[in-house]
Amino acid sequence: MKGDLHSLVPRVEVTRRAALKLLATGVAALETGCFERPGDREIVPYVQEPPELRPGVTTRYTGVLSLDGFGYGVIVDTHDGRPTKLDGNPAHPATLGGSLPWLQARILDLYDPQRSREPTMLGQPASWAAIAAQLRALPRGPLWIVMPPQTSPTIAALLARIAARHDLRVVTHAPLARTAVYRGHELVYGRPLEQQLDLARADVVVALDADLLGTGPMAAAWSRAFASRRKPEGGPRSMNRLWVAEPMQTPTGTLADERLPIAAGEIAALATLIAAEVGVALPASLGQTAQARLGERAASWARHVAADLVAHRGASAIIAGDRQPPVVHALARMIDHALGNPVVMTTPAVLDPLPTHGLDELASAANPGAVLVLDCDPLYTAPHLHLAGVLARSTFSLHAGLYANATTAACRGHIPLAHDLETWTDPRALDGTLAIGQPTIRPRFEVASIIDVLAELAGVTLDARTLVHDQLRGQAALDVFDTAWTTALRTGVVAGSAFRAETITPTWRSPATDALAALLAPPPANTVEVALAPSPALHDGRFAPNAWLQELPHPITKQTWGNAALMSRATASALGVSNEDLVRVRGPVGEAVLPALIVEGADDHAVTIELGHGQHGPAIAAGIGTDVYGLGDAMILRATVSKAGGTRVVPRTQIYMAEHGREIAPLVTLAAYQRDPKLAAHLRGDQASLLPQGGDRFKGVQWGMTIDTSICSGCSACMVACQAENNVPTVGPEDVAKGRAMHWIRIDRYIEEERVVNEPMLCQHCENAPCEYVCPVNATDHSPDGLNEQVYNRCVGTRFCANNCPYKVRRFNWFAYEHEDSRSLQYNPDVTVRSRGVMEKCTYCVQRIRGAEHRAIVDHRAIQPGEVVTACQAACPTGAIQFGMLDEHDTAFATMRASRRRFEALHDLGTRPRTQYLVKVTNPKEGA
Amino acid sequence: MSEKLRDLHDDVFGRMRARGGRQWRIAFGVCGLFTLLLVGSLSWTIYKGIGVWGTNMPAAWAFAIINFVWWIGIGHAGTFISAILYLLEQNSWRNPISRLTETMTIFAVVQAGLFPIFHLGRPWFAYWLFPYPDIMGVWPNVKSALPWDAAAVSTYFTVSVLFWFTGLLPDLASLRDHAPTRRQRILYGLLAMGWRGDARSWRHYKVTYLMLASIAAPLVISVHSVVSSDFAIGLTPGWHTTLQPPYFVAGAIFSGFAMVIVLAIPVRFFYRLEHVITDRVLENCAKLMLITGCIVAYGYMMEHFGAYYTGDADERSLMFGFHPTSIAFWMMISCNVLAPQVLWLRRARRSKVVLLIVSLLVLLGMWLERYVIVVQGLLRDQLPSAWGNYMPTIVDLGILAGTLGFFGLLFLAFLRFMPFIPVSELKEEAVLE
Repeated sequence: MKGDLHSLVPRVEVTRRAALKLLATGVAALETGCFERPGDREIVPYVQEPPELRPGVTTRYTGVLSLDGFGYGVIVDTHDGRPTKLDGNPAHPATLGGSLPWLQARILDLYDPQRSREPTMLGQPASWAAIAAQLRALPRGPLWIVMPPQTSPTIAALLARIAARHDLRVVTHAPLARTAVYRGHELVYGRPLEQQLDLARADVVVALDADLLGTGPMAAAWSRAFASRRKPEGGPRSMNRLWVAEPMQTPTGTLADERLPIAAGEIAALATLIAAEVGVALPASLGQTAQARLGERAASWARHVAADLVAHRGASAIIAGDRQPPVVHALARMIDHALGNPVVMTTPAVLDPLPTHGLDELASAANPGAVLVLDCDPLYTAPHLHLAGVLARSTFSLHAGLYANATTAACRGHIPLAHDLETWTDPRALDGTLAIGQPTIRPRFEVASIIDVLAELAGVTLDARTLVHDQLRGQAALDVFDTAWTTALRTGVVAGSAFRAETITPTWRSPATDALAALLAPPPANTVEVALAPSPALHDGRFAPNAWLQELPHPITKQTWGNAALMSRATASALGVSNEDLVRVRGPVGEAVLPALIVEGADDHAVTIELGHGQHGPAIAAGIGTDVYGLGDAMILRATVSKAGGTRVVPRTQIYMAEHGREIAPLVTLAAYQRDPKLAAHLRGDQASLLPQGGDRFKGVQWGMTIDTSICSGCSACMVACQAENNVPTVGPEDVAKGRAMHWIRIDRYIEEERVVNEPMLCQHCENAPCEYVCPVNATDHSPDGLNEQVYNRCVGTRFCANNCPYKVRRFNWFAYEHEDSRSLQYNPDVTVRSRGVMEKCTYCVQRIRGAEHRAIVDHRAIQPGEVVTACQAACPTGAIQFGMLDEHDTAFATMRASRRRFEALHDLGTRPRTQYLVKVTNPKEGA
Repeated sequence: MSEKLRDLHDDVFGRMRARGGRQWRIAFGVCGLFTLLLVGSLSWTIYKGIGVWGTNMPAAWAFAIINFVWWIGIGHAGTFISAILYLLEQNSWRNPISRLTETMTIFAVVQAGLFPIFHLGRPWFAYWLFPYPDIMGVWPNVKSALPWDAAAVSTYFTVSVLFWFTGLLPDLASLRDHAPTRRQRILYGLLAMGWRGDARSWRHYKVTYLMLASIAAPLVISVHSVVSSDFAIGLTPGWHTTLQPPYFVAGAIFSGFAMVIVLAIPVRFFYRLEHVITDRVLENCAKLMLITGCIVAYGYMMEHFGAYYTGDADERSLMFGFHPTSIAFWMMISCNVLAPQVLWLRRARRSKVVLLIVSLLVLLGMWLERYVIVVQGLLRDQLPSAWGNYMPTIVDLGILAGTLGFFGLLFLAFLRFMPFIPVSELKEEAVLE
C-alpha cells in the first residue's frame, strides 16, 4: 500500500537548478497577466480640467471650410472635444452668419466611416512618413499637381518653393471653376478680375442664368444682402426688383419678380439685346442678330429689363452665371458701365484664375514624370481625357482625398486627406478676406493636408500651423503679431485683408465682338440644349458620399438620391415621356440614360441635368443617380434626347406642387399689397369655436416663429442645420420614395404657372394641437410656454397624431435608424436619439430654449430677446426664419410678427399655430 | 316526446361527431400553413419594425387598421344573431346558427385584436392603452378614441366569450355524458363545469343567459360606434363626420351576415345538416344582409351629400375628385351596393351559389370600404404638398392572408371538437313546439 501511494506522487529531484527553473516558470506565468496593452499608457483624470474643456458645455471655435478654393468662415460647436455643429461665422464675408446646405453637412463628413483611413502605396498599407519621404526624394524632373483652385497664401508660397526645385506644372481643375468669369473680365479689362457685388445697394438686379442666391462662393452673403431689400413694409426704396432669365427654376428664380424661361445658349443674345438697349456701343449687326435669334417674348422681356435698368441708372446689378461663356460676363460689365453702376473690381482671390496648364495638356504628356492629384477626382469629372493612361505612364503618382474614388485606383499611392476641421488652413473669401482655419479635432487616423503634401515637395520640414502662422506674419505688417494672430483665430477673419477695389474701366474690344458673333450663330439643327448644372447639394459631386446631402430634397424638384433630366411639360410631351420615364441623352462625346422629370417653369428648349451623381466611389454615393460628365466637355451642350424605354423611381419628398384652390401659400404683388394691406386679415386670428380658447394653460414666456415667404429661396440650408442639430436620421432612397423622409423641417413649394412660393413647413406648435388629443398615452402634450412636446419614451407609436396633423410634419421611426458607427460622434448630446417605433418632430430646438433658461436662472435674469436662436433660424442666409417670444419688442422677430402680411397656414381649421408666415410679395414691373 | 328528442340528439351529435376525414385535414393543413405565415410575418415585423409594412407618411394607418375594422365588423353578426335575435324571440331561425355565429364572432375578434397591438411602433407597450395603476400615475388620455377602442373591444370580447361559453355548457355536458373515451370524458367534464341538467341549474342558466344577452345586445351597437370614432374624432377629410357610428354599425352587421352565409353554406353541406340549417335560415340572413346593405348605401349617399352641403373644399375634392383610391371606391360600390340588390329576388335568396357569391363580394366590398375610408383621406388631406401614395408590401398581404388562415384554423378546430349546433336549444324549441 505504502509503495502504491508513493508512486502517485511525481518524483522530483529538488536540486538547485530545478528550483530555479520552477521559480522562473512561476514568475513568467505571473507576468503574462500583467503586460501593458499598447495604447493605454497612463490615465490622468481631470483633477484640474483644462479651462476650455467643460463637460456638457458647448465650446465654440472659429474655423474655415473651403470649396473650390474659397473660404467659408464657420463657427464650430464642440462638445467634449467633438465638433458637432457648424454655422456661418457672422464676421466672415462669405457667410455673414448664414449657411448653405453643404456647409452644414460638412460636419457629417468628419465622422464618415466611409472616409479613407489609411495611406497606401501600390495597394499596400503605407505610412504617411514613408510617403512623405518619397515626396521629398522625388527626382527634379517634371512634376504635375492637379488640384482645385486655391486661394491660400501659404499654398502660394509653397508652390513657389516647389517651382524652384521641380519643373512644376499646376493644373487647376474644378468642374465648376469660375474661369469663364475671369476670362470675360479679361476681355474688357485686359486682365482677369473679380467683381465684388453689393446687392443691398441695387434697386434692380438682373440674373442671367445666374443662381446667385443658391450656388457660388457668395451665395449666403448675397442672399442676406438681397433679402435686406425685400421689405414691403418699408419705405419707397425698400423693395428691389429681380429679373431672372434661366432655363430651369433655381432658388434665385423662385424669388424673381419677373422671370423668363430661356435656354442657357440664348442668354448671350438676350444680354446683347439688353446691352444694345441700354446704350452699350456694340456693332449694330450684333443687336440685329440677337433680335432675330430671340423669340418675341424674350425680346420684349429684354426691352423691359433695359427700360427698368435705365430708370434706375447707377443702382442696378447685372450678373451672368458662372457657366455662361466669357463674352456674356464681358457684356454684363459693359452694361454696368453704360448705366454708371458702382462696380467694384478686385484681383481674384484664386491663385491661378486663368489656368496656365489644362488637364488635356497633362493627358497628352508623353513623359509626365510625377503626378499628384490632390482633393479632386479628375477621372470622374473629366472622363473624356482618359487620365488613367497618363497616370500609368507617370514615374510617381499620388492621390490625396477624403475618400477613395475613381482616381485613387489609377494612382500608385493614396493618402487620406485631412478634413477642413482637422488641419490648419488659410483660404481667402471671394473678396480676398483671409481666414485662419484651425483644427478643432485631432484626426482619428493618419491624414495629411494639401499644405502637408506641398511642404514635403518643397522640402520644408515645418508643420502646417507654423507655415500658416509664419505666412501671415511675413505677409501682414502687424506690430503686435501675437495679439493679431489670436484675434484672427478668435474672430475667424484677418481684419483688413480684403482686396482693394481697382480703378479701371471696361472697354469693348474686337475679340469680344468676334466671340459674341460666334455665339450668336444659329445652333446645329436637330439638337436640343442640354445644360449641365451644379447639384445644389452635391456641388460637383465631391459631397456625394454625404447622406444628409444625398437625402436633401432638391429645392425645385424635391428629388433626393440622384439626378434626372429636368424638362418642361412641353418638352416631355414632345418626347413622349412623363415623370420617371427613362430618356437617352446623346451628347457630343458620350451618352447617358436617366429618368425624366417635369419641372414647371423650365424652358421648352433646354433640358437641365445636374452633375455630381453616378459615382463609383464610397458606398453611399455608388450607383446613385447618373453620371453626365461624359456627355461633353462644356456645361452648355447641344445633344439629342430620346425616349429610352423603361422607368426609374425618382424618390421625391413632394409630388404635388399645386395649391388645388386652397389658400395655403398666398402671393400678392407689391402694388396689390399697398392698395389693400389687410389682405391677409382673413387668414389669421381667432376662429369661432364652441370650445374654451386659450385659458390659463399658457404661463410665462411664450415662444413663436414667423417665416417670411417673400425671402425664402428654398435653398434648404435650414433642413441640414436641423438634421445636424437634432440628430435627424436619413432613411435612404427606397424609404424616401415610400414617403418616410425624416426631416423635421421641409420646404414646401407651390407653383402654378409663374406663381412660385417656398413655404418652410415644420411643426406649427398649434395652441389647439390636433395631434395632442388623439394620442392615447399622452405622449404628445403642450408645455406652459407654448411648445407642442413629444415625449419619446412615452410614445407607443400608434401614429394617430401623424394622421391628425393637417401639416403632416410628424415623422415616424419605421426602423431603428440610429447610427452605431463613428457617425454617432456627431450626435448632439443635448438631443435624444430616438429609437425605433416612436414619433418625432420639430421641437423649436427645445434644448436651446432650456439651455437659455438655465443660463438665465444662473445669472438671475430673464431670458433676453434674441437669446434663443433655433438651428434653422441660424442657418437661414436670408433671415426668413425668425424665432422669439411673443411679447418681445424691437427685434427682427417682433417686427415680422407685427407685419400685416402675417397669416396662419390652414387657418380655417382653428389650430391657432404658433408658427406663422408672412405673405409673399413680389414686385413685378408695371406692364411687363 | 323523449323518443323524438333522443332522435334529434343522436342525429345532430352524430353528424357533428362525424369525422371530417381527408377534406377536414386538408383544410386544416392549409389553414395551418397560413397561420404559420401569420406567425412569420408578425415575427418579422417585430424584429425589423413596422417599416416592413407599406405604411408611410401620409398613410400612417393602412392595412393593419383596415383589417382590424374589417374583422371587428365580421365579429358583429354573431352577437347580433345570438343576443338581439334571442331577445326578439327569433329562435326558430336563430338557434340553428347561433353557436356557429358566436364562434365566428370570437375568432374574428381574436384576429381583429392582433392588429391594434402589432401595428404599434412599440407593441411591447400596448398595455399602456389600458388604465392600470402604475407608479408614475400616468393614465391613458381619455380624449383619444384609442383607449375607448381598447376598452370597447376588450369588453366586447369578454362578454362574447362569456355568452358563448354559458350557452355551450349544456351541450358540453351532453358530450361528457356520451363521451366514448376516458380522455374525452375528463376534457368535456372539465369544460362542462359540473353541469347536471337539474331544474335549478336550468333556471339559473336561463336567467344568466338572458342577462348576458341583454348586456351583449347594446355592445353590438357600441363597439363599432367606438371603432368609428377612431376616425370621426380625427381632423382628416373623410373621417371627421357624425355619420360614422351608424354607418359603421350597419356595415359591420352587413359584413357579419355575409361571413355567416359564407360559413353556414359549406358547414351544412359537409355535415349534411340541411334539415337543421334550413333554407329559411339562410334566406333570413340574406334579407338582413339586404337591409343592412341598403343602410350602407344610404351612408355612402349621405357621406357625399355631407361633403357637398358643408361646402368644405377638402371634403368636396375628396368625395368628388379622382384619387388613387377611386378604383377601389367603384369596386366597393359594385360589391356593396349593386351586388346585394339581386337578393330582392326570392329565387336568388334560395340559391346557395348566388348567396355564396354575393356574400363573398360583400366581404370584399366591405374590406375595400375600409381601405377607402382609411387611406383616401390620408392621401388627400388639407395640405397638397403632403399628398402621397400607398402601396402594401408582401408582409402586409401575408398578415391579411395569415389572419384568414388563423381564423379558418380556429373555426375548423371548433367544428371538429365542439358542439357547433346548440342541441339543447334545438331540443327546447322542439319541446315548445
